Amino acid sequence: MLGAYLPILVMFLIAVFIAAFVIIVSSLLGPRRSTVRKLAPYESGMEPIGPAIRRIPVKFYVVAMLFIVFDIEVVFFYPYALVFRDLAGPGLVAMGVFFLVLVVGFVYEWKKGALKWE
Amino acid sequence: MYELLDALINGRLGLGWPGWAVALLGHVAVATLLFLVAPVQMLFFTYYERRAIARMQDRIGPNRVGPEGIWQPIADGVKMFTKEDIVPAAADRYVHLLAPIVVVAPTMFMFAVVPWGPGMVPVDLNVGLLFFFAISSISAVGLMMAGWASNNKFALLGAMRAVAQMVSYEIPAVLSLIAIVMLTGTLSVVQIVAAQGGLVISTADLPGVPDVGLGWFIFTPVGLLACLCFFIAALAEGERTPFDIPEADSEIVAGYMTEYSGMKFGLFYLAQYVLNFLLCAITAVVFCGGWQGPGVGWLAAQGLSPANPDGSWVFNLFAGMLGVFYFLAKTYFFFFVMIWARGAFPRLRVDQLMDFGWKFLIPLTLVNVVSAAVWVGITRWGPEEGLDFTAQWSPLLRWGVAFALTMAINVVAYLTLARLYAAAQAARGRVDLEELVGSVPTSA
Repeated sequence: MLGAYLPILVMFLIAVFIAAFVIIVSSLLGPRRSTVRKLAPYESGMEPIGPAIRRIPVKFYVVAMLFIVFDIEVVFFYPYALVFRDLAGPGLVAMGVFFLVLVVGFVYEWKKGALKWE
Repeated sequence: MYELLDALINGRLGLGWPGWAVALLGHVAVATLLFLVAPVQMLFFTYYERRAIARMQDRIGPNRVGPEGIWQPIADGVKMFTKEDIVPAAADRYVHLLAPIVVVAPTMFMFAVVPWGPGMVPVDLNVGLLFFFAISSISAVGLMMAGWASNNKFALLGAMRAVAQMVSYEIPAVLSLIAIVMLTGTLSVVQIVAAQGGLVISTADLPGVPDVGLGWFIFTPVGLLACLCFFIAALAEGERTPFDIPEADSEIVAGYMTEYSGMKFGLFYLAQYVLNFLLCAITAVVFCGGWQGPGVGWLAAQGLSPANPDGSWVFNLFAGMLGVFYFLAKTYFFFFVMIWARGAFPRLRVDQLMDFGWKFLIPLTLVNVVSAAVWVGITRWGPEEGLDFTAQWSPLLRWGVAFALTMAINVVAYLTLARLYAAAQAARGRVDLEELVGSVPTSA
């Protein structure tokens, strides 16, 4: 069963190797002439004011939370979808209930204003 | 692949390798071949995009390096290799170094499940579609690492936007694929392609239909809506133009790539184009039959196979070539649509982008899932599933009723949602304008 994933593992190792190899080769080929100005953060030529990493607007966290809830619900959907044809009646009822929960959650998010982005 | 290598190593050369070593060598060979093809595709894509977008903008585009500028991407690659690699003093060195690798490796890795032609798939996973999307979301982590490690305001903002966008548009993409999974009952990409034989009507729906490899899902209302939603979501996942706010150069320089130079920047660029290729490829495979097309099935049937031991391998070769041609033609068509969108549409605002994903695409794909259930119920179910009124209908009538019904559901859903969405956008536009007018100090 897990044998099917052996080529995946091989591919993963080769992909990581290629990416690392490219970076190493380019670091050998490229010049190294660093100056203080060159190593400063790029802010379109202005003097950087304050640190770059500061508090991030909360709306990004809301999106992340919505994503986790929604994406897990959708992933649970996949097994249903896969055997939907064979499950027939009882499957349809189960899927309908689950679907309804998904939609109710979505409408709640919407009405609560979690999707407002201003 | 395994039989071929086994015959070569143990049969012809007589080295007597154990089975696992031959299998491992085969996997390494396939992976290496793929990872040679992927950058070549990416190089051609960059050239193709620059030339095509130049035509649309009434320019010429790169035409100096080689005939019609065909070697331009090679020249760019050489330039990137020999550029200085600048790591800003304030950056987190290790995360800054790791981020391009974390972004590139998964995108290359996604090639594993894309079938190129009949029988030409690196790994036929039984959960191929799920694998594809699971891996595609890993690169979001890499983008966040890049933005965070750069210690630059533009980079961090770009990374936040990129992750929010990828995360939001992954849901409609995955939901629109659920409709196809319901129609086929499989997650294997190979079997999804195999289910698209036929002539407009899939052979899976109507057994007697002639199989010329044109029973694509895009010809059904469910598949068409799923394809449109998926492709729009793919534009956002690949950060293509109407949705390219994570790297909007007029606002935040180059987004998360701002502090990257040389080949590290090149790797982000590579990842982006490889991802675009893969998204176009998966659109072609799942909705437009992949390698299916007139002639491939016939050629493959004449070829050498367990069912047909006295076929000729020449036919296998031709079937493979024709299949790869159809697959690449469809993929390049979708990539052309991506370029076309870039030539035709301006960039969206962040709030418009979020609204469009959550309030338009997700409800639409949810309705499409219901349509898919209706389609399966009418075309597949009979008395044993508790649906006896369709038992006397002929398969063609069932197909027709399913087509009409799902078409009606989808059109009504689309029109309703489009109206609601347009009304909401218009209402907000007015509010914005009033606030703006109120805030302007009026001269007495």
